Amino acid sequence: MDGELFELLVDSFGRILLPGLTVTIPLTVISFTFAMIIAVITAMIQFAHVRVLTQLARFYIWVVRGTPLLVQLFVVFYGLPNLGIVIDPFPAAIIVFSINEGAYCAEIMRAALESVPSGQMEAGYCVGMSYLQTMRRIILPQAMRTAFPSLSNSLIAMVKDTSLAANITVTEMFMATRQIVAWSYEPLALYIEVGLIYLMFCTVLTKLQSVGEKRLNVYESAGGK
Amino acid sequence: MLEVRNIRKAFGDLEVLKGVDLSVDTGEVVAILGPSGSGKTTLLRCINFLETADAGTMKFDEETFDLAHVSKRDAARLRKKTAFVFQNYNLFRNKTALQNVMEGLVIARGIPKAEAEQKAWAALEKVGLSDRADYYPSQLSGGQQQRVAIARAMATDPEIIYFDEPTSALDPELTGEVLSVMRQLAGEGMTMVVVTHEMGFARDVSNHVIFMEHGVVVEEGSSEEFFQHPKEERTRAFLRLFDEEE
Ligand SMILES: Nc1ncnc2c1ncn2[C@@H]1O[C@H](COP(=O)(O)OP(=O)(O)O)[C@@H](O)[C@H]1O
Ligand SMILES: [Mg+2]
Repeated sequence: MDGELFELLVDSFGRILLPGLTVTIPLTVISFTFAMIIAVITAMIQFAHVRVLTQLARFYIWVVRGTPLLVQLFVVFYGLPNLGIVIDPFPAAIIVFSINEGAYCAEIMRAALESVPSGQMEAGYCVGMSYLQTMRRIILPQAMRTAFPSLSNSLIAMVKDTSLAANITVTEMFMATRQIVAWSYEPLALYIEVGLIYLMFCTVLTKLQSVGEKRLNVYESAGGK
Repeated sequence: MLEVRNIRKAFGDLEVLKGVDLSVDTGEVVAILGPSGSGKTTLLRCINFLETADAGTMKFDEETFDLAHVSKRDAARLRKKTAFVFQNYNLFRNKTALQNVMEGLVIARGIPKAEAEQKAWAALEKVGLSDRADYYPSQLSGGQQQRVAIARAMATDPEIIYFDEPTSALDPELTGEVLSVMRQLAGEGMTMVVVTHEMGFARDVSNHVIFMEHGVVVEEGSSEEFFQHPKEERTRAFLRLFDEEE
């Protein structure tokens, strides 16, 4: 590798990482937080078979899962201005990622809620707790434990999907890389570099996942303590 | 204190309870016997509103309820005066033994944590499991789990405890520890309704026995009368099954 290219990569590392830390990660963390709120509510509505709302939840999941994320981004950012609704790139990305991820996580949560034995809810009733109390203290924590690996996968996938936000002018890592490529004409090295930074982020998340799983495993491991 | 009249319940075309009566006095232990599928579990579940009966009335502490139309509020209020011990324990899997016992005190009844913890310890002590307070259900044997479930039931000072075959899921060598805890409870004057296949327990501990089959009460009477002089041929045949075992 010639010195010039090496210098470019060292120099661009910081320039790519910075939007990674200031845009990609906040975009992921904020969107995933909203997505989890949407997911828990949507899953609980379906779990409890709340009339009308269950149909709405199914409709929402059907639409979101049946259309490409990129199309959703374009509809919100380039399409909504037609209705006079103009949203800045970053908030637009947050809205779309939250809604999109919310639908996938809702399905994960619903399956996890349904996997909790019905006796757990009945035991809650029998010690005098209400539906919501049992839900919050007993059912949701157990469902979270079940859903944790799948939710972690979703989160990791989402880190990578945020690169699509470049298409609606959000200057996240991938956009930053493209800008450097535009003047340096080193696409191969630079795109590999940004790929490695994504890999780094995802590796950290994978590690966090296994730490989290170990902590959550406490009550599942049979045998002495 | 508890009087159930003419309770009926069908699942689709299957009539499981065809007009069953049950009355329990304070301090009394009532044993419900009968072959599997006779509707014993459904009876207990209807009385505690885990299942909605199709018809029937229930008098609890001078209050009368229509079992087919009990409001959620009444159901919740009544459940706070009762406790239920399940065949398969149903301990909260994400809570330790101590937390399992505390949950109904702190969350359902709003008892301050420190006081609840004291009560929970006392209850675990009583079932001989204070040394397992910090264990999760998955770390306990079946017999220990059921004892925690009994501790959870009695910690709330219920007016009555319903037991649904509390030892049926246990290996034979573990049933003794659970039965002895139940004997102790009965000795202290706890009002209990116990669905069981443990004839020895029913004979020695219960005051009153109800024998059910196909959703009806075939015979009932004081424990002594029932075991010494069963009137119905069906009852005698049922009891013979257990004599052969013993
Ligand atoms: N939720 C249910 N749906 C349909 N059938 C049920 C349900 N619960 C119980 N049954 C049926 O009702 C009958 C009585 O069951 P159960 O009350 O559990 O009897 P027991 O406890 O005496 O063995 C059985 O035939 C059983 O299959
Ligand atoms: Mg049964």
